This record gives sequence, structure tokens and C-alpha cells, in this order.
Amino acid sequence: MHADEIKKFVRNGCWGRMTITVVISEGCRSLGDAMRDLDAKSIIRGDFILLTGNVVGNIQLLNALDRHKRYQLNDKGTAMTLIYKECGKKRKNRQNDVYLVVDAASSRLLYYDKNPDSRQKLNVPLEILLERDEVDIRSDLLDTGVCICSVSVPPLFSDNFDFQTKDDFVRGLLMNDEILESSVYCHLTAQGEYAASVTNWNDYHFISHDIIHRWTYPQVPDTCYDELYSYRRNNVYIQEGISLATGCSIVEDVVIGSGTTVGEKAIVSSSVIGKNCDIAENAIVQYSYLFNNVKIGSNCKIQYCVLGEGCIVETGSSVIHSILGPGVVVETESNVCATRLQSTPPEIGDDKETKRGDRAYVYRPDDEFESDSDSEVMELQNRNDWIGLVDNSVKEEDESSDSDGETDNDQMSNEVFLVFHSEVIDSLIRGYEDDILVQNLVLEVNSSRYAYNMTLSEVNYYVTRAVLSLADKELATNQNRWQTTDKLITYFLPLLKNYVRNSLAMMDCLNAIEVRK
Amino acid sequence: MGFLYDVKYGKILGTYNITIETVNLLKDIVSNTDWKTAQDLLQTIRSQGKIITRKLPFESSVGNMVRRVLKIVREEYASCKNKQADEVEESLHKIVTGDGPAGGDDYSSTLGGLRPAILEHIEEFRTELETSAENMAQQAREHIHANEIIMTLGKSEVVEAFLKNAAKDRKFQVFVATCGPQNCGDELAVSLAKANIATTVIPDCAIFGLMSRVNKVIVGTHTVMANGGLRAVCGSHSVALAARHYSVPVFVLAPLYQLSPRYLCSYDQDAFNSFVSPEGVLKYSDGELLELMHVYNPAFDYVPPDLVTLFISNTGGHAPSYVYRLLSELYHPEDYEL
Repeated sequence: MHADEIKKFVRNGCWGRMTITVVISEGCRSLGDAMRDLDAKSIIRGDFILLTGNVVGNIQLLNALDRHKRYQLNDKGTAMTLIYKECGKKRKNRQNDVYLVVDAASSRLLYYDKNPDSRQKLNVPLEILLERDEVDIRSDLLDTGVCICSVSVPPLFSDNFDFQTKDDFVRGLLMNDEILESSVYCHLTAQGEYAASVTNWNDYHFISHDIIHRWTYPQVPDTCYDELYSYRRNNVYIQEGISLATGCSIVEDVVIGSGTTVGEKAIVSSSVIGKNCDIAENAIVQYSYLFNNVKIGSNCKIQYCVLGEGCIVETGSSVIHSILGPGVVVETESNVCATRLQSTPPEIGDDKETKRGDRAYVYRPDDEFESDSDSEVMELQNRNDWIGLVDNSVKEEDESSDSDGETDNDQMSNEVFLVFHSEVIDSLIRGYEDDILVQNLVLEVNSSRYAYNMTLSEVNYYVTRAVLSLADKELATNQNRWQTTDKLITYFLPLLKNYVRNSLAMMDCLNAIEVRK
Repeated sequence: MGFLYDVKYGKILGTYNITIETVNLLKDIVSNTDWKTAQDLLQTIRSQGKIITRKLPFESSVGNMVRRVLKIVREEYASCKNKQADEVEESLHKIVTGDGPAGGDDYSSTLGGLRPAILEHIEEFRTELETSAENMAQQAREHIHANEIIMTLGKSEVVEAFLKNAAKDRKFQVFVATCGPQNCGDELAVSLAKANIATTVIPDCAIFGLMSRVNKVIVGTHTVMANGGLRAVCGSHSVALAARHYSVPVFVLAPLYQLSPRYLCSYDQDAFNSFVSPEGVLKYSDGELLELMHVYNPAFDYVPPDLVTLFISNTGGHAPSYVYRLLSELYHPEDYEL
């Protein structure tokens, strides 16, 4: 497992005065699980800084911690302080857009929305605006992925088993701030501080360039401890022992590792090249990331790509908008555009369909084998930048929401209704078979109702439907339809009486019966 | 290695503190490592020094301190050896012709009492370091006269102490250039104003315009190069050039630990300039604009030696042309390259 590798890495690294303890939690699939596990082990006993391993930055966390402590003084319920950086309109990557409503005086977070593209609207509850003198509505913030948490955070995760991610947590806390008695605050980084977390290839590109442009100073290649780079004009970082042939041009924003050779008239710009790479003559490498030991043949063209360790692109090929796994070989004179390749054949699926060469197979994430590749490619070509490498899954969502925002939502809620419906049926069957007191069934239905956030009229509708569909099932054993239905209805009468109380409810009830016909 | 982390993560700030910590570290090496001969010790210090200077390329004073301690070891070795050999009288002939008896020595003899002698000498040297700012400030009265107008740039602690000391019994006026984009000059101005010095903050672009009214320019520096040039805060060069244009003397406050045996060969030399985060030149929130351009925010300027009138160190005033002599006094020629 990865755990051993992480342990090994921690053991072998040099961490100054920091002591690192690795906590391994089996079967964790999300931040929420990890937090619940930490809570169960009760390891954390004070305020803590929560961040993931994909954060790059130079924030003075002490300042943020002080801020958090000050919030705690004024508000005992302070659970979390989120750290944001002002980024203007820089990020074109819409997945990470956050929209916040913040109380101007106390910088308490009042409303939180992520990626609301599908609606193109922000639905802010009116009371947020009415209760306060001044609120800031901000869309120019970049989530740094770093936050300061109070000791109450792991128990909150345990109490709310449906919190999976930090977003869930923040949203849940804001929705139920009175019940949970917890609040979330915001802290903006000071001038000169930078932090960002890499969550997709697009971020990877932007953040790499922020590092190359030195926003993360002093965390820049030329101040690295063990891998010293020297910094040249036009943001070029070069290690010792590289050879640049005459006439090659290293244009700008380039990092080159030791042992790399760049051939005659090759052009390298806005790229990161690993160690011991070989870029042959007349090749063009732009906006790309080459890991160690990559070989690029002559006259090749590499744009907007990530090439894994040991990849070989043979003479005259062009690779654009693609991600190549370690060890992929792209054969001579081939064109690779907007694809992901891996060096071994995929476990499932047809070899012929995915094969592009002896050591190049199209990579498909397991869960979307049927996705329509033609439309994907089309879309990739339309967008002339790193958007092309966004995860397939997310892109598809984008697509559907662009064309028709409503369907997406409808589908979502339809699913919820179906689940609710089947759950109600289940409870009723069980109740009927075990002859449970109907009052208890009311409780059960109510709890399902709150779990799926149903309105009263929806509950009326589905309960009626459920009772009637029960009759269908009973029919299998008893041929007399009327008798069965009558028996059922007498049994469930208290339940129906509980829900159907006024004329509106009667309408719902009739609607349900009508659908049955 | 905790020292490296402290410097890197800003726990130890400022050249002076880093210098003192380096000396402490070296003293630690001398007293705690296991060495038999001076040669061993020199080797250890040199290799440790190499590691530290490689990892802190911008803190030249660290390297200077390593060289200085090496020199101390050599001196103590020589004097110990002399004592043992009972060569008390040093003839004039020997002083003139070479470095004395230890000149061609390989420092391999085992000498008793060498360790305490070296430690004592380092301790002495540390005291000298600690009092250097004070010593410099005490010379202020000789250089600043009544009713003069002084110009300075950015924030330098030695300059601050120097001016405050002069203000004890003299009235004079100070122009402080803000030194953008960090604008650290503002801090200095506030501090000086609190000490009842008539202080005016001027933007960097007004340096040339106001230079004609200035009597003296007093600046601090980060490093004094071997040729007497400066590696000083960005903007120093323009101040020095403006001063040259109006024939205003430029005084540089440089404690001896800032004296480095290195030269500037090219402006692109590694580890000469450090480029800090572009924040301040442009904001990160300027967003899309940033992808279209390069933004540089260099921390240092090189000021050629001919623009400097006088160095004021803790041992007194020196002309730039005298720096070579100071170098040979402070460091052993074999230690120039670690």
C-alpha cells in the first residue's frame, strides 16, 4: 500500500525540528472518514492546521493561527478558519471557483457556494443580508486548501456522518449553524503570501507557473536545498550538467534538470523538463511537463502535455493536449491529440480499440468506459489551453450543464425521489409483515423524509403511492384485489390519517392514485 | 542543521543575527567535535562551511564568518607552536619575509592547549561582533555635522543607530527614500521621527531631484565585495549615481563581517542577486495580466567601488581602495575559496 511508501519517505526525509507521526487509517475514502478516525483515536487535542499534501505555498501560518485564536475569543463556536488568497480573475478553471458571502465586520462566513455555473446565479438567503449592516460577496478568491481548525472539528465530523469533504463540512455548518453551534471564518493571506493546492492538471499547470514566476518565494527552484538550480533571465532555471546545443532556444519560464540535452534549433518554452531528458534537434516543447528520462525525437512537437517518466516520442510525431503515463512510446510520425495514454494494455476493454502502439494504449478511467470520445476530442480542440486536460468526468458534467442547466438538476432530484419512494415502501412492507405499531412507521417515514429533504406534499404523494404499490405485491399471494387493498388500507389508516389532513394533502393523495391507474 | 532551517524559515532574521548564530555554530564545532590536530579542525570547519554556504547562497556573511574562524584557528596554531618552540622573539626579518614559522606548515602537529586558545579567541571575536554596531554608531559625530541634510535609503539597522547617535547632540535633517516596492524606508522614517530627528520621506523617483540639496548620503549594505563594490538593497545604485552627479559624498556603513572576498564577474552571476516574489510590483489579484508578462523584483543592486567615498566599519573609516588590505588582514588567502 501507499502507507508504507509514505512511512519510508517520512523516515528518510530531513525535517528540521518538526516531528512527523504517520497515522494510518484503513479503509478511509474521504477527508470525512479520516477525521472520524482521528476523532475515534482522539489524537488531536488542540487547534490544528488542516492541509493536504498537494499544497504549495509560503503562508505565515502563525498569523493565521493568531487570527483563529482571536475569532475564538469572540465566538466560542469558531470551528474553522479558511484561508483564501485574492486572485482576481486569474483562474479560468471553473471547478475551483468559490463564491462567498462574508460578514464585513467579523469576517464570518455566511454563505458558501462552489461551482455554481449550472445556475449562473447565486441564491443567497435574504436573512443573511437583512441581519447585518454590511456583507461582502466575493468571487475573486482562491482556495488555498489550508485551514485552521478548532478541536471541535473531528467530533463534528463524527456527529454528521454525511460530511465527506471540506466543502460538505463548511456547507453543513452554515446550513445548521444554530443546531451545531459552530461557525466558520475567513482569513485572507497577507501581501506576498501565496498558497494553492493542486487538484487537477489545470491547477498543476497554473501553480507550476506561479512557482516559476516566483510567487512562492522563498520556495523557488533556486533556493532548494538539495537540488540547486541557477536562475537565469526570462525565468529560466537550470541545473548543472546540462547541454544546450547551438541555435536551440530556451525561450522563457523553463526549468531544466541536470543531465538533459537540448538539440540544435530546438525550442523550449513555458515547460518543466526533468533530469536526463533528451530533446533532439528541431523539436518544439511548449507548455508541457516532461518527467525524468524522457526522449523527444527530432522534429517532434509537444504542446500542453504531461509526459511521464521514461516516455519516448519518436521522430516527427506530434503530441498535443495529452497525458502520457510512464514508459509510453509514441511511434514515428504519429499524431496524438487530446488522449491519455498508458504503456500497458488496459485490463478491461478491447485491445484493438485502445491500442496506439506496442507501448501506447488509451487510458480510460474505469467508471466511464462508454463515454463518447469523439465529442470529447472536439471539445478539447476548441479550447486552446489547459482546460483540455480537466478530468473527463467533470467535463461531461460541464457539457450537459452548458446545454441545459435544468435537466441536470431534475435528474438529480428524480433520483432522490426514487430512493425515498423505495425506502418508504421498504419500511411499510416491514411494518406490515412484522405487524409493527403504525405510529412507529410514521416515525420511520418521517426520518426518511428529513434524510432526503422532502416537502410535506411530496411525502403525502409518495406514502399514498407506496401503500398502493404494496397492494400489487400482495396480489401475488392473494387473488382478490379489493380485499387485499381494503385490508392494507385499514391497517395503514392511522398512517394516512397522519399525513392527509387538509384539502391540499387530499389533492396529493388523489394525484398519487391517478398515477397508479 | 537546525540553524539552516531557522534561517530559511525566517526564525533568524537580519544579517547581524545570522552572523552571530554562525559564529555560535562554529564555536560549537570547535568545542564539541573530536579533532586532534589543527588540520583536522580546519578540514571539518571547511567542509561544514561549504555545506552551509551552499545552502544559504545569499547570506555572504555566513561564508565570511567561516573564513574568519579558519583564520583564527591558523593564528592560534601558529602562536601555540611558537610558544612550544620557545621562539619568543619574532625577528623583523621573519615578519617581512613571510608568515613566520607557520608559513609553510601543514597544521598537523598535535598541540596542547590549542582548543581553549581557539575558543577564547572566538569568544573575543564574538564580543567584537556584538559591539560592532555600537562602535560604528560612536563614530557618527565625526561624520555628521550640524544642520546637514542626510539622505538614506530603505531600512538599515546600523544606519538607524548611527543617525540616532548623531542626533544626541546635533540637529540635522534626514531624507529617507522609501525603497519600493517593499517600502521599508517608511519604517526607518517612523523610528527616526520618534527620536526627534527632522525626517522627510521621499519616493524613490525623487532621489535625483532632491540630491542637489543633500550634504551626505549614508547607506547600509548587505555585502562589501572584494573590490570595494557593494551588494546593497535595490535602488542603491541610483542613489550612488545621483550622488556622483551632484558630487555628494557617499558613506557606506559596513561592519567588518560584511566584507567578502568575492568579486562580481557578471550581473547574471549565481547567488549575486535574489529575486523575491513579484508581489508589490504587481498584485497577484491582477490576474490575467500576469500571464502576459514577466515581473521581476530584484532584492539587490551592485554599486561599483568608484561611487563609494568612504566605508565606515567598526574599526574606523576606510577608502574603497583599502578593502584589499582589510581582506588580507581578516582572512587567510587559502580560505578565499572554501
